[in-house]
Amino acid sequence: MESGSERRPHLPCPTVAFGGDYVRRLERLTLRLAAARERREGAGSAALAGGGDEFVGYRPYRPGEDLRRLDWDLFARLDRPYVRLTRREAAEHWSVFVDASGSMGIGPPGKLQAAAELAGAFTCVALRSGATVEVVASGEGGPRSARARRLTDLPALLGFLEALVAGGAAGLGTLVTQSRPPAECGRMVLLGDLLDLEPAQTVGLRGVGRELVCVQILAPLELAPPSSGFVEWHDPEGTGRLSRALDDATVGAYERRLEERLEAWSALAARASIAYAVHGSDRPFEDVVRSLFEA
Amino acid sequence: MFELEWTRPWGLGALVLPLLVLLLSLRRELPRPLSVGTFALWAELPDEVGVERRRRRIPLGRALLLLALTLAALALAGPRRRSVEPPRTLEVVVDPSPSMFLTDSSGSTRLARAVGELEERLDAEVTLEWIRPRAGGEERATGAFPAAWHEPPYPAREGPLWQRFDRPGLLWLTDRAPEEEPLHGGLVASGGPAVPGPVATAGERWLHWTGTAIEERPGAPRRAVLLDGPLPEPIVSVVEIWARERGFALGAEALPVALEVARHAAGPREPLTVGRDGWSAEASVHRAPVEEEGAALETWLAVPAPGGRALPVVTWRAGRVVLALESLAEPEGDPAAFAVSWSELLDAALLPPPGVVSRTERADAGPPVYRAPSPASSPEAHPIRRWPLVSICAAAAAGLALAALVAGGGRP
Repeated sequence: MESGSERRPHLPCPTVAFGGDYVRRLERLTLRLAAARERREGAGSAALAGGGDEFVGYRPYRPGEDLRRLDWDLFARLDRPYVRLTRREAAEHWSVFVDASGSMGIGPPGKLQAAAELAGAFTCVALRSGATVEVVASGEGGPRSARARRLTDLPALLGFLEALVAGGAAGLGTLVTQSRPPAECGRMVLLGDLLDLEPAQTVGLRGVGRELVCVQILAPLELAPPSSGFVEWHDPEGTGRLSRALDDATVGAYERRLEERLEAWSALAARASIAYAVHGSDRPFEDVVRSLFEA
Repeated sequence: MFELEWTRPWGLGALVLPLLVLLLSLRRELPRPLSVGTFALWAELPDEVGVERRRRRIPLGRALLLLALTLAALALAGPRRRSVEPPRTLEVVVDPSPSMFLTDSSGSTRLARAVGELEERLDAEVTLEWIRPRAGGEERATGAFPAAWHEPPYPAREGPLWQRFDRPGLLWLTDRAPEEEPLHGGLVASGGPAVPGPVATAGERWLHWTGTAIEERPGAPRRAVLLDGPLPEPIVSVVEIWARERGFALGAEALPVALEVARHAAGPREPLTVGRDGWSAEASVHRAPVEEEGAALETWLAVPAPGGRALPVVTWRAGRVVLALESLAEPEGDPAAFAVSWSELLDAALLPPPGVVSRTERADAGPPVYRAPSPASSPEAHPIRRWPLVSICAAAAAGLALAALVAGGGRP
């Protein structure tokens, strides 16, 4: 039964609060990613860790690697095979879009909290690799943004993220139409539940020489709702109310619809070479970042 | 056809418990408000899935628990079936022996106390059919105990042959429990203390039992022996001598009767030789009756008859001797043997005066006894009665509670 109400929707987890060890966790994560990058066969083979044209050095060739990456000149001089290490020049600027609409206030753990932690992690990784970052967030009152050019800007950017409050109906779908990334943006990251964004809308965001990363964050309650009981669902971005008796059939029907939507995202990501991942808001941000950078 | 009744009606109060569980179950079904980002997906679900009409559904485990609690409460209240079948009839055999009419210090007879005890214990729906045995038959009455039966029969009767009356749906009413109690029937015995009083007479003196000894007391009524019809001379002589010796008047109808000696002259007459106890005489005889007014007569003198059957000549019962002798010649043999033989008959047939009860009858009858009779219909006729409702309820409650545990255990 659907009914309207003038009351402001109740959001269980609308704010962001970084824990005292968050910065230390960020440092550990970036060090771990750097070490992993060194261990890889080639920086260019990773989806997010490299693959640009900027020369950064050599390393010995390993059997089985693509011979096209071999530096034949060096091989001729030294009679030993080496491959070139490069850094993607387009990665000099990253744009991180954060959904701070009402639906991101769902939890616990809060979806906005998870998105903010991920945004901080992406920013830290970008700054460590020499890129500049702009974080753009939606929410009540319109889009807001903050920039970071070097690591010393990180605390201010984390402060910007910590000031975010979930609210309003403007999600990523609205944000990407209101705030376009700059032309020099080599990597665009979308963080949110992607519920108001159709997969096809993201194709145009990718652009030439720009990588697009989409991380869909859903609360445990949204991924696996309780299978019994009687609930009244509230729309966090509106005034809708919906009474539902939960049982296996009801929850099964919901899960099938959610799965269809997630599969649509996966299919598009595969077709359009978009890095896409869906995670629960209870998953540590380190796992999410590593799954994307070490893929 | 049954009605339900409760042995512990206060146990029904325990029904409050399942009622509370039910209310709490329904209360917990109030919707829990939850905000969800996937609200649109829930809104897209068709109405028939998870709509409000399913709000009051109670989980299987809890429904079983509710049923178990309800049955347990009912078992606690002790349900039982009450038969509302058409009124049953209970036959009651009444002991007519003299002890039943003895009055103790309370002023009531043992018979009255036994009847009162029975009527107190029986349901109003039961119809009583009273049976009073008598020689050669029985008297019957239905409904209230016949008032006339409170008067002692005269001459006194002996107690019934109880074993003849041992069957379901029948009850013995007496003052003391017989040595062999009924196997199928019931028993009401009034009991009662010893009742001192006359146990015999000697002429015009009472032989009075005091409870410990017998003493003579004056005041016994003078009684008479009646001679009905012309009797053979030898017999008249013996009766006159015997009556004089015992202190009875002869032929005085105003006095209480001690013995009636009657002549029976119906039927064919045969000349025969009769005798016993050492005497014999030629006689002309008829066939003496063996039953009078429903009461059996005992044969004292009989002779062989053609066909091998005995022909009764003299029969008797208490207070009456019947002679089918048209004539009797002078007896042969010892004249004393003839007199003694007839005197023994007359003594045996002598009726005790009213108020005389033997010492055995007057003895202590012991404590009261009540034992209900078996139902007139066998238990097999109503097999369901063999299953007590309490056990059924309790067993069902236990089974459902177990099922509730199993059903509830699989769900959070």
